[in-house]
Amino acid sequence: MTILFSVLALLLAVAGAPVFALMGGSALYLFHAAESADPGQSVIIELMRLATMPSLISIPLFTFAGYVLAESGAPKRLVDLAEALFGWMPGGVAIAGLFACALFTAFTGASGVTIIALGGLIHPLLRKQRYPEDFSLGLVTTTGSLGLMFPPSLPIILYALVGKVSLDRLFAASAVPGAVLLLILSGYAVFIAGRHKVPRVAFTGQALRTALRAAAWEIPLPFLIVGGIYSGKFTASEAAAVMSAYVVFVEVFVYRDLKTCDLPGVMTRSMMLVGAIMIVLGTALGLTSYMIDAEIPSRLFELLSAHIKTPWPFLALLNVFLLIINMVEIFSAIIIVVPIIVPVALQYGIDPIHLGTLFLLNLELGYMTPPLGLNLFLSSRRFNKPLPELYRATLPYWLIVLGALLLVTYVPRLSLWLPDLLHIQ
Amino acid sequence: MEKLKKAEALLVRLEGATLVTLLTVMMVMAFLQVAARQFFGTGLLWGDTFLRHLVLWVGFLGAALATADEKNFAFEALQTGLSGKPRARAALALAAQLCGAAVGALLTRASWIYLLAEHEEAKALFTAGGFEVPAWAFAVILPLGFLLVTLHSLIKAAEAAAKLR
Repeated sequence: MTILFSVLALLLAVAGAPVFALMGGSALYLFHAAESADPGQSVIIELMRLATMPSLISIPLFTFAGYVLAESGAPKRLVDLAEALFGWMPGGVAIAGLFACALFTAFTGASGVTIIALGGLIHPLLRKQRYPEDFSLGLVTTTGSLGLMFPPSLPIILYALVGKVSLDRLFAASAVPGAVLLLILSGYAVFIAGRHKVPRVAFTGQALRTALRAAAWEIPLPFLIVGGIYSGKFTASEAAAVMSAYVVFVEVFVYRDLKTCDLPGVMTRSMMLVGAIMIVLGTALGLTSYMIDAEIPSRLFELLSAHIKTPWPFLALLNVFLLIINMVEIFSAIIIVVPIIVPVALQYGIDPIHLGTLFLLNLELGYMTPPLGLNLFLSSRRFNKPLPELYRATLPYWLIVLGALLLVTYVPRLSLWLPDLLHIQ
Repeated sequence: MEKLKKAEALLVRLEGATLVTLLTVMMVMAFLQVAARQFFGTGLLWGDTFLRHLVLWVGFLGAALATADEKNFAFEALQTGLSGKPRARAALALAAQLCGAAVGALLTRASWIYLLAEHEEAKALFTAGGFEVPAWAFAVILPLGFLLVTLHSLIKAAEAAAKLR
């Protein structure tokens, strides 16, 4: 019977059945098969736990604020500012693109909106500077997820909720590897700019002043949010409340990029993403609770530990497994996989925060992994290029991010250094 | 089919309006809570509980709209790959939407039973200004939300079935 059910579920999954239905259906079936008194109640009671998660509210608030930013003139002002700041350096325009995308992705929830909103501005800019097509295309495709290691990105929040680790600690932990990756990619940009003799843009105080003045209301935002969280002044949820209020005030009343009557549309569009996440999260809680009851993680550990004795090969295997899952669907991957692997990793003595960082960086790599990575599809649609061309263009970047992932996996201090330094619990 | 589409458009408008109202309340209140805490060192005691339950309402309405707009998370590669074969694609969409509707209906039923039990128990979630707010009042969104998701899935299934003919 269970085999029959698994085959049916798999077929429906391939046909494109919604993940929440697969999760909810499996949970109902498994509780039923385990002769639970009332499978329906077992699932719903777990789902109701959503209302007890303290950081959950940060998901709708940050997502809404991100959508407002994406639909305003903020992307243009951000790119102009980054160009004025970094354009004079060797590889400067590319570096400006990297930083602008990282910041923007962090603030818009890493849902792929960066490629649509910023890619279209940065790609022509790079081409105008005579950067090679493959390099430019690869850069905008890669940077679509570059910011997901920085607060307040949505995947970090979701991981902390599902993996039951401190969100504030994870925010601090993932930023250092994120910054290292940003530096490595900047180095690559300098190298390419040198090899192709890309001309530099002259620095002018005038351009910088204009860009600074234009973005004057948006510049405080990262400092307010990131500074607030790192200094312990706000929790992540409070930062989300402040950010959504601030962003509406600035974009609607100061810049007037959006009209008040545009807001309901932005609200419903952003809450569709939130709803899609929440319904999967809710139904998966039932499935997770079944798996914990059935001691699936400890059985998995027993099975693995018969062959793998030390953490290092376990982490290698984990990375390969995650990469395959993450390539398919990022948010569902976090919700489904994290509750199972966290207890297993704990048995191997791996710090849950370190695990979180490597998971997030793995997500970032998954976004751009052929054949199914989401960024590749978004870029292909946005720039009207066939997928194989994107596979080729992103390969050097893929290798760089893979290198960074290995570094993060095998140097735990990299992730644990900042949270320990700031004494964030 | 036309009537069905009109009815769904009306339902979507209603869901959207409710969602926008609730999200606005949530944003304003969350911001006031932070402001009160930063400047006066205190906030409404029941505020956080209320807000956390409001997230459920906003989330479920968002999920209903996502279902109507076919934005739920799903493995889409096969359906996308079949874009040249509309009938095969419609058949897959029909199976996928019916699966969503079936599980949605089971979860609607289960959460309805849960709601009845909560109502029976009549536990207070919090007290606001001397007024006891019962926990079941917030749990209403579970059966309601799953019902809306089921309805939208059925409508999408009907649309897919119409393409099969």
